[in-house]
Amino acid sequence: MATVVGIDLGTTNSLIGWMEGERPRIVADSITQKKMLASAVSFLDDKTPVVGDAARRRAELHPQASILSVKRLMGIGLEHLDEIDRRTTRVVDAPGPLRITLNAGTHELRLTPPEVSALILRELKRRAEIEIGGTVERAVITVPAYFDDSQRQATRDAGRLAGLEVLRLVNEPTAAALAYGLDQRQEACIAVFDLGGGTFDISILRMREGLSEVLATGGDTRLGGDDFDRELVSLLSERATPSPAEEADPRTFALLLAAAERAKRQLSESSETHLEIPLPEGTRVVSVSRAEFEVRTRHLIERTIDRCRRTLLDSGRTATEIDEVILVGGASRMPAVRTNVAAFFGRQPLCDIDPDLVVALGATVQAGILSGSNRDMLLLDVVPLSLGIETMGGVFSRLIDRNTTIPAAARQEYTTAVDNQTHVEIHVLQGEREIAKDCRSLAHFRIGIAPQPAGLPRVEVTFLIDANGILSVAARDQRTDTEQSIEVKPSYGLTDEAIETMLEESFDLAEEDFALRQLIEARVEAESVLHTLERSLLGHSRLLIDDENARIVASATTLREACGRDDHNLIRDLLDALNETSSPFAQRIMEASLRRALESRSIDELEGR
Amino acid sequence: MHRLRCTACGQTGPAAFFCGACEAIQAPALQRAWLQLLDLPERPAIDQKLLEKRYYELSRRLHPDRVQATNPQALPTSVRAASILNEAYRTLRDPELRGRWWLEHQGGKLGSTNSSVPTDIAAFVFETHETLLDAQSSGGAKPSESIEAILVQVQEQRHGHLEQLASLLEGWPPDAAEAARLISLRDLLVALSYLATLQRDVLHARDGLEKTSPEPRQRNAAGLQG
Ligand SMILES: [Zn+2]
Repeated sequence: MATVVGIDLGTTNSLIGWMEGERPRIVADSITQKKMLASAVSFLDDKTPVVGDAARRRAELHPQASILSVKRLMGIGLEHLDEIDRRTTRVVDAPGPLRITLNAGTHELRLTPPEVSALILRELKRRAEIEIGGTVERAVITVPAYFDDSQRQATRDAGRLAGLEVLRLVNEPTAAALAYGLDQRQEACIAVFDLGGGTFDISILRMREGLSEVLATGGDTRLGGDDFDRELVSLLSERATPSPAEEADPRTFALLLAAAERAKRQLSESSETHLEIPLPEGTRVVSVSRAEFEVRTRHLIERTIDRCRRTLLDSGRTATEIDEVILVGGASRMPAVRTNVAAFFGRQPLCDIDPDLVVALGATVQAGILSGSNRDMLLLDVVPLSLGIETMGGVFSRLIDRNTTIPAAARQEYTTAVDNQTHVEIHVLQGEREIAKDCRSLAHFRIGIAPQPAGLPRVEVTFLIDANGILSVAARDQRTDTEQSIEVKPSYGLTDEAIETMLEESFDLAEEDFALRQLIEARVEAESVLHTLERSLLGHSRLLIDDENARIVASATTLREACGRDDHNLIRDLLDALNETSSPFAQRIMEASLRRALESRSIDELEGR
Repeated sequence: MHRLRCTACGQTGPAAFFCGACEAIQAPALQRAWLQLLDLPERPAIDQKLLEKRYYELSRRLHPDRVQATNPQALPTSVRAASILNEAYRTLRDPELRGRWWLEHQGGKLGSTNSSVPTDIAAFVFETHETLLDAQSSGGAKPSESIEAILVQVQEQRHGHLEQLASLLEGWPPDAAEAARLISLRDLLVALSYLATLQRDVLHARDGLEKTSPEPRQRNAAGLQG
């Protein structure tokens, strides 16, 4: 059987792995040797897409042409966008599937979130094919456990658009447990606390003899490391920009966001950080302490612990019955997360496996199960949200409870109210509330019925949730024993026809062309360096000495000219040269801003602020 | 013995997840046959360890993830078969759900009619709700402690009823049961369901969680009109 890959399609970073014999292995990029691919996409002026770190860098200069954290937008509608999504992403204000507007040079692009995710998947696929040395056509992709049916469908659509047959969607926390379960033989009850870039999941599992059984899962698809970054953005802007972050222009906001990400990482290591923020009006140095950060984000941590409490209740276990706690997701590196999780479960969490890699490793283990190479292991997962239908009066009637082991089925019988009625309309929803409009709408199903007197047809409708957590519906007339036709109108997802069209129109990634890719990356970096330098020359001209200005400008001009040609080695060399020429100047700018920061602080202290 | 016609080879044999003649996966939609499908004795009391063992054994054989690797053509059947196995396991491992299932399949009409709540339980539920409201609104020094005390009471009540249920199911005669036994089973199940809702309300009050809708223990079988 051909290789099945395991993919962690993350909000911030994505990874791909494969089974090398009996052990999962994560693919490293053939050039940089890096395993993580930034989940960022940026379009060059000629509409060529760039994926990964280069795209993330480019987003700072070209926010209009770039998209970060597209996972937050998968399978949702316009009405689910929050304030910040609306600020960071421009969307087409029209009903139907969500479309993102981007500007690449003079072109305006309108893309659905699955199309953007597909570009990330194609880049991962390309990397894997190089390392494995063969084509990759089938994959296991992870999703947050708390993803609803539309979000799962959207992920599967992205796979299809990337030319991958998605054999299975696996819940991220479950995948993490699988990675740990590979060497777990005795029976244990495990809690997986997964705080990713944009989502939070908590799952309780029972593991024994290779069998992983999910007892309960819960979480929040709108809570993650990004929210901590945003709290930091507002903290930074209070100290660095004249107006609050909500009013900042997109460029300033992007720069603040990049600084916040750096600050968050540094505050996980040390108790205080000094940040240099290259704002359009000049570079600012800002200090933030871990204590300040923790006060600002306490409400976010409390939300995660509250979810843990509910999920534990659902699992029928108590905190003392949990044998191990596993931390997953980059955001779980924050010390405050660790402390609070340890306090809640009454034990120190495990993090033997790199939290950045563990989900991809688990996805790869599941890929091994599906391709038959992991014969002893099996995963029994659950549906994260209750599924039901809208009944008369707009009431939500549950058919399948949350945390029911999947595959799961429910049956419901329907009849007609008037003579010769030719169809019955069924509105399927997912959620835990009692009123249909408070739950997430999945789809409308229209069941065709042969014309008969009212009340005579007896149509049994079966709702089947497969092992991916995805719903299908079948209808059968009990009297005539015939299968009835069903028309599906997904509430937010794409129709099959839409996907076909997208496949035909899809962008060509610069596949397998190393030279071109390196060229694009070198150009992006040169552009970013030139841009920063230009601002520094303008803003800090008094810090220039002797003929420094002339030398830097000459070096920059040569680099800019080289960017017009196709030699990435030349661009890299000239970049190094420029960095060398300008580094004493950069050093002086840094020292000056540090001095200013310290001075202003001592004035604050003198004035008793 | 429930019998079934194999969808692959057409042979009729004992209902099972795998055809006795050709071993093809079957998805027998026969709720009454759950015990037979899991190869367990036809009685309402269950050996939990054995049930679990059978469930895991069967899961390893018919779960779609396993079938995907070994026999991809059987995948659609295995999804349905696994959904049946999962539902059977979920029902049989829980004494209350199992009792309800048994009542429905043994009690005929009796199983589908609703009885009124026993008066002692109605009184208990009413009193507990009053005490709970007092504890929440009093703003007293230790509302959480008094809620904890209420919770213990409710749990004790439920525990007592669960023990009664267990001994009733354990002592079930091998042949079809008499009406009196079915009626006491029904009354016990009704009491337990009231106590479960009550316990959830107290837990939610203790943890300060918003009230969610109760679990749909008894589904509306009538269906909708189009
Ligand atoms: Zn057969």
